[in-house]
Amino acid sequence: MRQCRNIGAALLLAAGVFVWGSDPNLADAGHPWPFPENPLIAIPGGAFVFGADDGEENEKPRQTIEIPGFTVNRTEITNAEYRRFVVEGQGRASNFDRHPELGKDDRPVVGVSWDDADAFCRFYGLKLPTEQQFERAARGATGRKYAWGDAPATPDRVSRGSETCCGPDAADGFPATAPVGSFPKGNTPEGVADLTGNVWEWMDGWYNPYGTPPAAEDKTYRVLRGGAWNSDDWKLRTTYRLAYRGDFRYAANGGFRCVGP
Amino acid sequence: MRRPVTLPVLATAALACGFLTQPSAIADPKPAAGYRLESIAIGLAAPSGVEAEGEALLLTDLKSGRIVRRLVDGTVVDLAPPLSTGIDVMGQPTGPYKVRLQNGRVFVTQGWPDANRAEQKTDHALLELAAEPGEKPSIVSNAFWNPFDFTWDGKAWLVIDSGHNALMRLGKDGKPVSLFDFPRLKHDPSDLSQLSPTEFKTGGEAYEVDAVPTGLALKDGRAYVALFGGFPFIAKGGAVVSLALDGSEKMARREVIGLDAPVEAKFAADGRLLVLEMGAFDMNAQNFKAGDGRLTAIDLKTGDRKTLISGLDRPSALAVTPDGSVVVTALSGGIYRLSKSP
Repeated sequence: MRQCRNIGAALLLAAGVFVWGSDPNLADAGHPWPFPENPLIAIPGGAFVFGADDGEENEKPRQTIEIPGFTVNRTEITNAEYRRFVVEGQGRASNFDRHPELGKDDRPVVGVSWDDADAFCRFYGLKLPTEQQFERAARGATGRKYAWGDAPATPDRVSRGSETCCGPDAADGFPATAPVGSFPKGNTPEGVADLTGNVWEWMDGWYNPYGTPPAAEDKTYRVLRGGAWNSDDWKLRTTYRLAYRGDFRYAANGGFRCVGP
Repeated sequence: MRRPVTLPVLATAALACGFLTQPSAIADPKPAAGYRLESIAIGLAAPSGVEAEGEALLLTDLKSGRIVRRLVDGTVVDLAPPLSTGIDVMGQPTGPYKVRLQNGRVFVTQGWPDANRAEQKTDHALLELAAEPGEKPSIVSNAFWNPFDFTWDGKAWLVIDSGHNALMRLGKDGKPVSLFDFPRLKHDPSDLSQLSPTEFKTGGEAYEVDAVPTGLALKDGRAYVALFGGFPFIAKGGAVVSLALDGSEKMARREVIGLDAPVEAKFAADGRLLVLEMGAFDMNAQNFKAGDGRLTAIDLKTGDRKTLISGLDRPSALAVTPDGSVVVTALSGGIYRLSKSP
């Protein structure tokens, strides 16, 4: 596994992708990012395809929009990383901190509320991704169906659910969450891991129909993206929007990652 | 409960009973008209089990691990060295649960191990206390996941395993055999639409939670089992079902529905079923509402219900005493005796 990760990092550098480790500009806004194994990977700004016309009603419309460049964690935030934040940032422990499987150091942290996730990112001078940032990172500029492309979701590409809707299984090698970065074939071309599958990821902002003016936004629900270890293929699509109350912290399949400038 | 279970999309942990909280500044529980309620001060922080022994009471404490006898004069005597307590892997308090008396011998169920220590043989076990209070209990069986309530049916121990979602009969070889595996409870997804509008749509697929059996009572060859219901503890989602102990019926019979997290059930002297409900779950507080617990008497023939005690703060156990009064414990520290007004 360690070798695979090194190979992945080498490919990223070969592709000319800037891997951010301890940018002093970001450190000014928060504590220095202390996790070099989970670097922030640069995603170029510019135009990209956002939304979908062939999905759920709340994914419409498919449109082309522009956003500035940003950086995003290579992997979902792990239990080890989150536990360090709990100590250093006086955060709240995850609901599954003591769980023998879900709580393993190399697994994505789950059982955290939106506020927990937001506090983690802000402590390190970062933020949760917006839905636009997530889609740009996950589907590229041209609108991929999954993080790796349009090829089917197979056990070597993604930590996901059973073949038939909608339960978990161990066909991908893990009965629940997988160690982050376990599916390099499922990485984006920039090398970002698990944007499809493993755990749902909290987004910045509120759940509303696209195009809702800020003044008219309903502030009841937050959004999670990307699907999880128990998701069927339909919900693994990069455009699928899952709305939940932000204070819900019992999910064994809900985690997050952060973005920076 | 030991394993995470899944909602249609967001998976959750199902929780066993045992929500240990700090005492709340709430009003005292109230008895129904015609009854009086006496508070019994013993000094247990989180009483979790109670059994009548003549006029005395046997009690367990989830906080300290103590198992005590409370004599009629108020004297409290420890019956054994304290059992292990702590927080299990799901973040819930664990330790001694229920206590039962059988032929003058005292038995207790012990929960899952504390997450911060190695497992012991006395964990997730049915234990028998030694005759001498300084001696350690002996293990009747530790082949359970989460043994909660239990009772003697005249031939063997019947044990509710809240982790296996099953009613077990303990064989002479110390191995439990499942008499009934409780299927998951189905709910209308609209019950959860406030949690997620994209996942729980009215008219959508049924939403299932673990049954999580808790209380056990026997009568006329049937086992009456309280079903607490799994997370997120939908309001009025709990139930009591009954099973024929001779195995003649393959299906459980639904006796009572519309309960809020029933944690124990026992028959009163007048034949009514007494059900102790934890109360409604507060998602914001991430706990059961303080002071929302109640004791209800239910006539199973007519369906008539009468609330005998309201305002209980996370009640945990009940016992019917020989004189017909009812003793109720609460995890917030209260112990109460309900009797008819003179």
